[in-house]
Amino acid sequence: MRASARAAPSSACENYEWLSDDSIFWLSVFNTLLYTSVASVIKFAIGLYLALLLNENMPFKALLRAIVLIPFIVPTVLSAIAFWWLFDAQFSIISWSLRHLGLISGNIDFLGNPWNARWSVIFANIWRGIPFVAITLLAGLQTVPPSLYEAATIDGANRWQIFRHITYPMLTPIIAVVMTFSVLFTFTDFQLIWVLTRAAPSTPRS
Amino acid sequence: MATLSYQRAIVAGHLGEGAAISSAMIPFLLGAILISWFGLQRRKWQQGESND
Repeated sequence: MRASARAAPSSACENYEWLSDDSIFWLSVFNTLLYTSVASVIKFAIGLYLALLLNENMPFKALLRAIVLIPFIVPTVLSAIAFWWLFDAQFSIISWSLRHLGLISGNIDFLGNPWNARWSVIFANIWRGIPFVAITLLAGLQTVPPSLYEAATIDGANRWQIFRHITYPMLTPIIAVVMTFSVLFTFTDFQLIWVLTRAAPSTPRS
Repeated sequence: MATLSYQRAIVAGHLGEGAAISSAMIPFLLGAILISWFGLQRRKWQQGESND
């Protein structure tokens, strides 16, 4: 690696000068931005859908809410190790299932190929992050007065109009807070990526 | 960036470089917070609320 061949800097600014010329640093910036943007958008979309679903009256509602929270309460390192098994180049159950279904001929190298590794860690982050978005938005949904929905229904509004003109505007402050936290947590994510890839998709795990 | 920072600072022993990578994350994080803050301010302004 280039960093190991470097002489000690004479001032703190030299570290930034060095970084500006470091292609690995710019690759990490690209990877982090891609990871954050894709994961945050998908987490928001699925989280909002789940929150709307869990806000409906349905049997076993409390149990379903508890199940949705499971990925969030599992320690990150444990879920990362579980994903590491799922994404193993030789023994991945995903590759095994796809091979037995006849969809692929050889195993997928989830963490050895840069783009596969990017999508794999994004998938793992989405799985972990959805409950936070869903439960927080669900809490926000429960603060919307039912009288607004009743008035809209009486006025003949359809489900999309109710969502667009009542639910979404009432949820906007909570969406802003949730997405800020989600972006911050995703951008600074360390454990998941370290356990899965040791910081570089092409770095072999020991 | 967080993992590269750890790799450079702790694993490779270049603390200054790891610190530089970590601090390079701050503008991105501030940007995310400012976008959210301005979005909320715009909404308050549209609704005619005061900043008190």
